[in-house]
Formats: sequence, structure tokens, C-alpha cells
Amino acid sequence: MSAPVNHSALTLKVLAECSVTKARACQLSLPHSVVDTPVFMPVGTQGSLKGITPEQLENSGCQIMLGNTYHLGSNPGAELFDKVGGLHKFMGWKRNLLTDSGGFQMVSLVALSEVTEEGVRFSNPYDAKDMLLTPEKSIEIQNSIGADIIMQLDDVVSSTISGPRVEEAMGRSIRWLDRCIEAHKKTKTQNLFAIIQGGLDSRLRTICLNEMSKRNVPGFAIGGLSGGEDKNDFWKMVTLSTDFLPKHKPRYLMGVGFPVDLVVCSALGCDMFDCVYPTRTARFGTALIPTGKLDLKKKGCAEDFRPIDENCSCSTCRQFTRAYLHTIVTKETVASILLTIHNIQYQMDLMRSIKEAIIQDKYPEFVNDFMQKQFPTRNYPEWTVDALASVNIKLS
Amino acid sequence: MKFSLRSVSQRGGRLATISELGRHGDKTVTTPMCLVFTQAGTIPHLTNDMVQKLGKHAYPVHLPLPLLLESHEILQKYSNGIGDFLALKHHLLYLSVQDSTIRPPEGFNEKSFVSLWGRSGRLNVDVDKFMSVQEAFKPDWYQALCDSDAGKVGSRKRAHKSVERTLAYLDRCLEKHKESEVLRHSCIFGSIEGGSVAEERELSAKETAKRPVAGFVLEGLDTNGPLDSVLPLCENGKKEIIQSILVDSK
Repeated sequence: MSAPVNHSALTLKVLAECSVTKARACQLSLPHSVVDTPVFMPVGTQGSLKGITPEQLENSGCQIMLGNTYHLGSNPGAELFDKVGGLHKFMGWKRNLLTDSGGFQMVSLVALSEVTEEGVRFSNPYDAKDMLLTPEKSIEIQNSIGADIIMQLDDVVSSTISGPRVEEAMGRSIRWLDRCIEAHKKTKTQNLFAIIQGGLDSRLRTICLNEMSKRNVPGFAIGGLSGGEDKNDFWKMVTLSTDFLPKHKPRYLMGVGFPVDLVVCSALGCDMFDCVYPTRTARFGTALIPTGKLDLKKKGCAEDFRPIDENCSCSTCRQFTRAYLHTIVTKETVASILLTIHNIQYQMDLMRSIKEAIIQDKYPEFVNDFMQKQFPTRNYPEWTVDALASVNIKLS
Repeated sequence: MKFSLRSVSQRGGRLATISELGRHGDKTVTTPMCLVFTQAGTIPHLTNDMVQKLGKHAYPVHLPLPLLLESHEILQKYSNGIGDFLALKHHLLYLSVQDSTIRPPEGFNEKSFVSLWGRSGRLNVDVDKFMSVQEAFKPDWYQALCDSDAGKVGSRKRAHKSVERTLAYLDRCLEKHKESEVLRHSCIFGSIEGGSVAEERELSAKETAKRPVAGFVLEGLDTNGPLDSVLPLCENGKKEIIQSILVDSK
């Protein structure tokens, strides 16, 4: 086991550990600012959260957000980022950024893509050109974009498939990690995270965990999940990973998720999360509230003169009633913006209360309270009962 | 509301101040002034806090009625007025009959009602309904119900009808306005109609100027002809609003 190396681009300070579960509250210091964990990172695909300015996002308390390398690499492209001096400057965001490798979008968005040991070959839908995304190329683009955390290019397979392809992808991801580490030029300002693969197979996951944790990377992501697989399998892979991953490095669970997922997976020891759900569902007229969801399109909101959430401090809840939002939702663009602002605030507030509960060592009570609000008839999803039981929380 | 002319240039350009703005206390606005357009109560694509960053505080807001009309009953139950409902209560609110960026189809106004087009289609609005809306909405300024359909360019008959009907609506609106406690702080504007027919325009202006209106709305300029013939006919001491010189939104 190699001696811990000081990664000048990242330090993780564990502030508190839950005495019952695997949850922990930390301070993650990154080049642009400090991030409190557990943290939810909203997704600003094309360098912006749709409809929201960086200032509005900053006001919500957001300390780190995502950009997608696939979209940014195509438009405006790495060359422009080199000229401008990176995405932070380009979009006017003073805090932290995380970019993914571009791998996931290529596979999920592009009909015809072909994975070989070299990289992923595909036809770019923007300009119909053939492109080969290699680990080296992905890191090069991410170096130009300049995010505080960058992700390795991994061989992503759908979590719903099984068989030899899963093992092939896991093995290849390890080799690609090494190529990414080799190619990474800006270790002092950008942190390269490894991504654990292995599908829903605990043997494969364990191999991957073993191998990748030997590499000297500042953080680890748990990948290949949140792709429509059975939640009963999902949580087991999450907890297996957090059991194994080193405690002094951050754990990023990619693509998660819904509020319930965030609460449960924090209990399982994850520190960082990202998901398009809160912002996407906002644009379709759904607000997130402590009891679950509020569909503002529904007739029941037409004469409801309360704000979305009486306890929410966001500008939408301070100014507008559900009745007003009902008149414009899905019809005026401002409605998308107002709901996005609310949903982001909801997520930020949720993560802050998770963190505070961990620090006060009251996380089990917090989880019970949260789950009872979300499921007033106590019809908890089976996976949540099992996952929480595995970390000593019994849902009442 | 008080309109004070500060200066008039040789060619007729005027600088003025509007004060005594009812519920806005001692705020004043200077003219010429541009109202901020809204659609269904929102400034398109901009939230209120983003507009504040443009440095325009308490800017006057133009609320076209058509897309807000379906909220009439809700506003009656809400009881705090449209300004509060839209989180715009610190702004001067002007409620117009039509949306001046959209040309409504011709031929749908009748003698006793005007047609407005909401999200779910055509809505017929008579004076009673119209004034009930004003009482629920409680705007600062509103345009009295008017028939702005002057027919084809040059058509005298339809232009005359639009003038006659508009004056009739105006008189009834004024009656109800006078009796209304709720509209005490609101100001009513009369509309100058007549399409492209100069004599009808002249008639409309002269007759409207005889009524106790706070100001005039020069209607139908997006469809019919220039300003020259109309402006001199409005009384000097009164304010005017020009509704949409931004013609053809197509």
C-alpha cells in the first residue's frame, strides 16, 4: 500500500462520522472553493443550468456543478477553451466545476458508436464527422475545459446487461484509467477521479475496486449504476464500493438521484452526487417538496394560494403562489426558471440538513423523519428498508 | 394621477412628469416612458430579480388582458389584486384590452361585447364582465373597454362603428368606475379609434376628450396609418399612451 500523497488540488477533511451508519460529513477543498459534503451537484450540460444564471445558482448555496465534456467538446470545443482560459471564465462561475469524460453521452446519445481498446468511435451528430474519443483525447479536452474535478474515460455498459461484456468493460476501464493518469497534464489544478465499474456483479466490482484503489488518484466515483437497474441490486453495489474505498478520499456516486436516493446513499457512505432529475422535472412543471412532488399542472393548484413550500427561502417561494405558477407552468419560459430555482434550493437545503444531522450524530432520526414525510402510509420501497437496515437503521 | 408638462419642443416633443400615482404614494415617472411588455404576467424569459439587475426599479408594466382573463375568478378569490399575484405590486401596472403584439382576427366584435383571445380560445367580454375584471385585478391604470377593429383600411362604416361602440363602452365604464370603491386609486384611459379614416379619428378624439379620462390610448396604429391627424386633437393637458408602435410582430 503506497503512502498517502498530498494532492495539492484536493484535500478531504472528515468533520464527523455517523456512529450508526456509514454516513460522513466532510469538507472538500478544491481549487476554486470549499465544498461541504454530502453534496449534490446540479448538471449544467452546456455550461449552464438551463435558464439559471451563475449568480442565481450561487445564491442557492451551490458550490460545485457539472458540465458535460461531450457537449462542450463539440460546442464550443477545446480550442476555444484554451483561448479563453477555461470554462470557469467562459461561463462566469467562480466556484467549482466537474466534467465527466464524454463517454456516457457518446454511448447514450449516439445510435452508432463502437467501442474498441483504442477508444470509442462514433459519428458526431452535430457535424456528422467520424470521431474517436480515446482516454488521451478525453483528458485533453477536459484539461482545456479546466474543471476542478475531471473523470476518467471509462467503458460504460448499461447496468441492465450481463455476461462477458461487463467483465470486458471493467477490465478496459482499469486500463483506460492508467492511460488517463498518464495523459493528465494539470495535476496541480485538476483532480482526476477513477470510476469503479463491474455492473451488478460483486465479484467484478471487487476486482475493479482492488485494482483502481491501487492507483494514486485523489477520488473515486462509483459508475455504471443509476441506469434503470433494479434498485435492490443497485444499493448492494453502492455499499460494497463504499466498504472498500479508502476513507480519506471522496466517493462520488454518479447519476444519483432522487431525494430518497440521496438520503439512503449518504447513509451508505457516499459523499458526492449528480443528477439531471431536479432541473429536468422543474421544466416539466414538477416541484420537489418534503413530502415528495408537487405537479403544478394539476387543477388542485389553481386556487392554492400557498407558496410551493412555506419553509423554503428561495425567491420563487418568497414571491409566488402555487395558483400563479399553475397559470404559467409549461406555457411561459419563466415558469421553468422559477421551478428550477426552487428545485435547486430544495436539493441544497436537503444536503445541508443531511450534513447537519450527521454532524449532530442524529442521522438515523433524520432519515426516519424524512422517510415518514415521503411515505406517510409507511409503504417504504423494499430496497430502502433493506439498504438502511444494512447500516443499522430500522425504518419505523 | 397628475400629469405635469415640463417642456414642449418646437416640433411638439414633450417632456412631462406623472405624479400622485395612487397606491404608489409620492413616486413619480417621467415621460416619454416605455412600458415593459409582459405575457401572461411575466416578462418573457426574465424573472423579476433578473430584471432588477437592469437597474430599472419600479418600472411601469404593461399587462395585456387576453392571457390573464382566464384568471379572473382566481383573482376574485385571491382578493389582493393582480400586482400582488404577479409579485409586481411595487410597479405601476397598466392593463390594456388587447395584446398589441398580436393582431386579433377581424369581425369578431359585436355591439355589446368585444372578443379577446385567451389560451383556450375566444372569450366575449361585455362592460359588466370587463369592470368586474378591473375590480378583481385592481390595476393602477386601465384602458376602458374598446372596439379596435376598424375593418379594412379605408372602410368608413366599420371605422365609425368602432368609434361609436368605444364611446358607448367608455361611458358605461366611467359610470361603474365612479361607483366603485375598489377602483378609487385606479385611473381609466379612453381609446382613440377610427382606423385609417381621418374624420372618424377626429370624431373619436374630440368626443373622448370630453369625458373625464386620465389619458388617451391611441389604438389601431399598428394597422391603420400615421399619428399626425390624431395627436393634435387630444387635449394638451392630458397624458397619452401610444400602444404599440412596434407593429407587426410577425
